Amino acid sequence: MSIPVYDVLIVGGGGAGLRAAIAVAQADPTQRVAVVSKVYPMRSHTVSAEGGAAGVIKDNDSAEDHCNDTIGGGDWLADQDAVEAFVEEAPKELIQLEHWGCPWNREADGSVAVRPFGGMKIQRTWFASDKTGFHMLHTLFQTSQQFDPVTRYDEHFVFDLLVHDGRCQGVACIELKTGEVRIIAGRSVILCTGGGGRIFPFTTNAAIKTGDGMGLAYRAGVGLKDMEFVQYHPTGLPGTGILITEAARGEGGILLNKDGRRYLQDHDLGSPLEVSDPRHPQLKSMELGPRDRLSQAFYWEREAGNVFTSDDGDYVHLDVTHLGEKKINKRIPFVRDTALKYVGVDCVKEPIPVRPVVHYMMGGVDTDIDAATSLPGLYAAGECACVSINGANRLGSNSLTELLVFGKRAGMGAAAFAKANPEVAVDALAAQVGDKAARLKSLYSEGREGEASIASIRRTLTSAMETGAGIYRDQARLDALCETLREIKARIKDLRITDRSKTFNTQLVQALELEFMVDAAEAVAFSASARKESRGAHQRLDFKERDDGAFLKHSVAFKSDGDPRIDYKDVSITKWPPAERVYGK
Amino acid sequence: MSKDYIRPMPKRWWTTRPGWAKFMLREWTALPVAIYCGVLIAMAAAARSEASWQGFCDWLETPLSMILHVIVLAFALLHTVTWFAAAPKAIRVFRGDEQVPEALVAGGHFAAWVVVSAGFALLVVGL
Amino acid sequence: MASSATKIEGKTVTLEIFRYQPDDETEPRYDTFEVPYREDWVVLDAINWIKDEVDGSLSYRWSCRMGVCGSCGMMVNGEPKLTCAVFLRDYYPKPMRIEPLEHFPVTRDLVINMDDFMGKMEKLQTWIVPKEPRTIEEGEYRQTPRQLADYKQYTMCINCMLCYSACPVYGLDSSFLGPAALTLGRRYSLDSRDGAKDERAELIQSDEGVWSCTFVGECSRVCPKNVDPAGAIQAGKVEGTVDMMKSMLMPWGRK
Repeated sequence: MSIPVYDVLIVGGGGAGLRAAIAVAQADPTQRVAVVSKVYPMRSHTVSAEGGAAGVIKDNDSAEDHCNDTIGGGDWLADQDAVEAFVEEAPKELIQLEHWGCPWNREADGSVAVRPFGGMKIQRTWFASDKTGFHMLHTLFQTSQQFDPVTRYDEHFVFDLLVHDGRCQGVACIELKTGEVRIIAGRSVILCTGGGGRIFPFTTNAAIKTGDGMGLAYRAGVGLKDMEFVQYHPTGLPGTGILITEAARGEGGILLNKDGRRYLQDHDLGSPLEVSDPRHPQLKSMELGPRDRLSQAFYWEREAGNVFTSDDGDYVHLDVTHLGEKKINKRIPFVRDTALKYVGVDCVKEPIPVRPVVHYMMGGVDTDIDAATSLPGLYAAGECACVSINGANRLGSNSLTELLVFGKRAGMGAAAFAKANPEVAVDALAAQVGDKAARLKSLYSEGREGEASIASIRRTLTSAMETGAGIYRDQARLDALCETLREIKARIKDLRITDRSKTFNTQLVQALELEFMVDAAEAVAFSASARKESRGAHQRLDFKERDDGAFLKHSVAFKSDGDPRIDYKDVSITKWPPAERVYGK
Repeated sequence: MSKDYIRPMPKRWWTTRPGWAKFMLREWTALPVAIYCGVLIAMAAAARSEASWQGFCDWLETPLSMILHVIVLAFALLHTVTWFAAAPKAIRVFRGDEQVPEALVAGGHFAAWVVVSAGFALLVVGL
Repeated sequence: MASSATKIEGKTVTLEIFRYQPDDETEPRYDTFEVPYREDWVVLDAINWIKDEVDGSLSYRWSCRMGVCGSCGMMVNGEPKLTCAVFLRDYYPKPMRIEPLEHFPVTRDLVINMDDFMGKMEKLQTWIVPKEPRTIEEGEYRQTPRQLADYKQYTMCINCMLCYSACPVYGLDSSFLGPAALTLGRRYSLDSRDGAKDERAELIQSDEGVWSCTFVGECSRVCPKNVDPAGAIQAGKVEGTVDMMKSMLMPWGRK
């Protein structure tokens, strides 16, 4: 088997992966780059991001303000040096995207337009209607096609990182079309595989978001940082979990409980202005509060019996009718389209039913400010990584910018590492893969007559996650979750695989994905169990206050033979000492 | 080596979808319309002498000629309608920053058609 | 007929699914499945149900299930559809026949081979070739909402390939660049920041390009995002004709 060797090998072809690939190709056209992705790049989940990307561009805005919003929004768990670098590079990256053709919405004079977003004190969210992620991904993908040094391995599923001599030097993957196990060597490797929202039953996340990169790193001994922080987006459609973008509230949409009351005012998020008031919507107030607080408000409204009930679960109303048809069609057309299609509601005429839905993982592969992990030669960027700029709660429109800024940083870091470490132990890598390849091959030819179906374990896992690690958590429920996960880890060894074909065997892929999901879930559950305080998206009914004395630090979960080991790491504080999070005042 | 399965197009592929059938109708009906040009050429030839003109007029009154005319008129109408309906695909009109709806562009064409046809009708009747 | 081990309560609907397993078969077959009928299920939900509960070996692509990733295009009763965007209720109680997108080679079951399209995009230079290069420090290009409107509709293509399945020209001769690729080429040529219109025109105006299109118009009808590829192609023809006339009448006018 001939093993191709690349300077930089990128796993994942979404926004972060493509940005990294272009960064390497532009900086040094002699370096060869591979993008290995389990789907065609334009299918990556970046495509589903809607609202926008934050970056300071207007005269009334400042880096200081963006830092302030981001750090407070993250409940002071973000690393402030990373946030400062992020905020500084954000507008440059967004301009870069503009130069590559991203169809940003414009002001009359031709400059880019910005819109308000939750938790941001000043309007700084660049947007392309309400399909910003889609346009960014397609712009990046189409732009990437012009660079000859970039080779794509589309529909290749990476199942193992290859570490030799203390360095990550490549990956083992299955080419889906043929079922062949391939080794691809890289002088450096970047993980850009996105998050793992699929470990929850009710999520905005696409089917492909199974925490693969987190699992890969975790198994290679790299820590997963701040995994207990899982963001619930306050406005998903009941039933499907399809996202209704925060831009709907940015444009002036309001949340109403079953009595028609703007209930956020009862949850310390400010007092409402009339929708006809020109000052509505008020930034960093009411509907434009941060996502964690809005989702938590829903929880308490439900406790109080103030929400609508249905077969698809409880919900409240998101009302945009007062915006009028013209503005809705111009600024949030996808919202109208989506609500009409999936819940049969024309938002021009009636409010949209919504409920909180798992949306984003603040945690991920532990990296430094240059996207490097603790394993030499291994980098990570995008949702699968945790730098951390998002702390305990990400502000909407920071993640699209994050994947650009840290995608580029990862590319530059990995390229430099590859230059300094040119030797690759190809033979040693091939020897490593032998056993695993044999195991996969036997699965193809013999299947596995196990007891447990993929679907049933997946259901057990996701429903345990919702019960144990939902919007509010407590020790008893977390303990039960950890116990269920231990059982799942035993049962998963006995998985049933009936598909024996080598060609496009999606059942085998599902089995491998499920194993990654269990890794990610385990890190979430045990980190959450160990964090005995409430901060951002991690809210505990048994420890209701933030405890800076004991927990102003990052948790880092390491894989071990039994339960994971949870370590802690200091948070970098530069200019913003921890304070109270204040919204609506 | 690829073992992809190739599904060739069936010989009568246009019968498998209404949209394709409509397209083929348009293609085939172009032929009779073209043939009608022969009638017009015959007319021009006949106009050279009184006798041949009378012969041509007599032929016009035969049932065969009547049927031919009805068919060609139907086809010509079909082509006119599909042509104008397709016009907004080739011509995108903007008013301000907004694209003018396709129906409006097509509507404009149809309106112009009616006006011009009415003009001709007046001309003919007036004669 | 594949049998279902799962007992289904209440109403059901029948799905007839195209199967092709190249490892041990040379010809495709159709399997029939009874699936629970739910008012709010899209066709993709039914297919997922089959994979989870009845036949784990069924292969197909899907991801976002909200009509934007472009993965799950299939033929539903002979019409190319995004299966995440059509509901069982649109067909109930009639049985549904699910097949891989037409005009593409079938890799397995409902999975098509789309290498051809990927190559075509690249050929058409679907990226900005700057007319006036600009540094990041110089900030963004100015582009008015009107200039944006010129090409915005054509940026909405999700590469789902439904238009290729609706196009008999592509079905008969796959050298035709096809609706989506030509539209994306035009999208960049219409962008005020781009300077490669003439280079692209060579391919767009070639035999593989717009002139192969016989204007069947089905591509625009099946497009789930209202991109209107047929319009983009016709406008390309008009532009090509005008350019040709210009260069014939005023040979000195062009460089």
